[in-house]
Amino acid sequence: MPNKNFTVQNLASKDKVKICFKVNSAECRLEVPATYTLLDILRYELKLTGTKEGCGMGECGACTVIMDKSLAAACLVLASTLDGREVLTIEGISALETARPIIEAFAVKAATQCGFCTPGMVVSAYYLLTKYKNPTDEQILEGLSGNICRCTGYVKIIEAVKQAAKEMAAPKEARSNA
Amino acid sequence: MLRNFSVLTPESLKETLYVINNLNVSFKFLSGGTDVLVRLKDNPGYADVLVDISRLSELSKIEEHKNTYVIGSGVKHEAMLSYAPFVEKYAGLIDAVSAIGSPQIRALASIGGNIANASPAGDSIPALMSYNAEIELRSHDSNRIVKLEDLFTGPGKTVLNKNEIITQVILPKSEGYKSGWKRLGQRRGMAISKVSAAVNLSFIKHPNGSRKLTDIKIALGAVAPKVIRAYETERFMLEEQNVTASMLKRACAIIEKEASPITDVRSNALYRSKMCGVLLCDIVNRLVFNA
Repeated sequence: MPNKNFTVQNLASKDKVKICFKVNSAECRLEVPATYTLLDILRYELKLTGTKEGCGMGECGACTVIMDKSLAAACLVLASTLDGREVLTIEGISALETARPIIEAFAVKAATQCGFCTPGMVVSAYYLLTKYKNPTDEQILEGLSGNICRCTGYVKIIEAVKQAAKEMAAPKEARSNA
Repeated sequence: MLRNFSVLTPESLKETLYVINNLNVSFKFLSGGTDVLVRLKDNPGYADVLVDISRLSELSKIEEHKNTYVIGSGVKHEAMLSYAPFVEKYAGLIDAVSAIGSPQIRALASIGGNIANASPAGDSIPALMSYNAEIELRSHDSNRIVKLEDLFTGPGKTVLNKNEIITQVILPKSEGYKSGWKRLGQRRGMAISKVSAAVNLSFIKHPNGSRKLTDIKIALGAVAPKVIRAYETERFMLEEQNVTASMLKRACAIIEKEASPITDVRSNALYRSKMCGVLLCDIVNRLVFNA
């Protein structure tokens, strides 16, 4: 049993938290303010600014990352809950050979307008396509349902995901010859 | 950026119960964080301390018992969606949980959090209520079980004492029942329900094609200060037994009166009342006639 007198003063030491977690396969040991979210840590501590802050309330999906094999809104993950977790950001995904078809499809299909939602969209698309090799329209809509594009360019984004699925299903040689 | 709070990370449920019993400042539990962090952003005075219970293994399991399924309060919505017995036998719960938030939110948000928020529009609540779910509450020196419908006292308000925590949701097994949940919202993703309804029923199919109800439980969300059971409608339908268009029409008239909705930015009271009947018919027809 902890022998502590729980008052605000005594809690001061908890205003910073020590965490150890993985970001894009690299181990990170950090001491950060307890009020930091994963999004703050990525952008301010680790300078991984590909993950965007849109609404800051979990509604827009611009800060989407993959955490422990699930999608997560980085703005809603508090530092203290990160210890031992594994996070994959848009920077990690864009370095993966397997994700190239997604990024290329977004470019080819002009699925990017202002571009602010794009990193989050690509993370969700990558997650979707690792889960379903050949997703149905319904699965694509559901998979992207947590990502809002305020340029409202959804049609192109959905086309890009379909195109990427096709590319990823095709044998590698056929792709390089295309 | 968030500011002005401290975080405590107890390492066990026992330690958590000790901590909350001794805290003399305003605190909130941090489980999934999908509501707490949003409220802290809006209102920095929302809590002085967050008690981080997100890692407590005692709260993060789903267990099958003889007559019940016991869901730890820290279980994520996503985990419920991939739990085979729920997918097979609790369609209403799956309907509701899969409509909450977005994939990004469902991976973080916990069932205990959805309940503890005590929102009249909380989507998992009517579904759980339609199975007669119960909630286990624990403090350092007590352990009690309350019916889910008795947990709430008003919008955002529960019977929880300051030193208590929701530890489990107890879901009775309901063999031979069919269930469904449906809502109306502004859109499909990331929307707060305007009206929601959950139905859990059993019936006998007669050779002449008629369907006789043997049991029905109906819960309504977002049409009263808390999620409610539509007891009068249930009674009427059980007395009538035979599911027909005219029986459903009369059930609609009753359920519209059982609801006591408000007019707000999302919808108006008249529409909400009427839609209780529409949702009831939709779900019952689907469950009973596969329509």
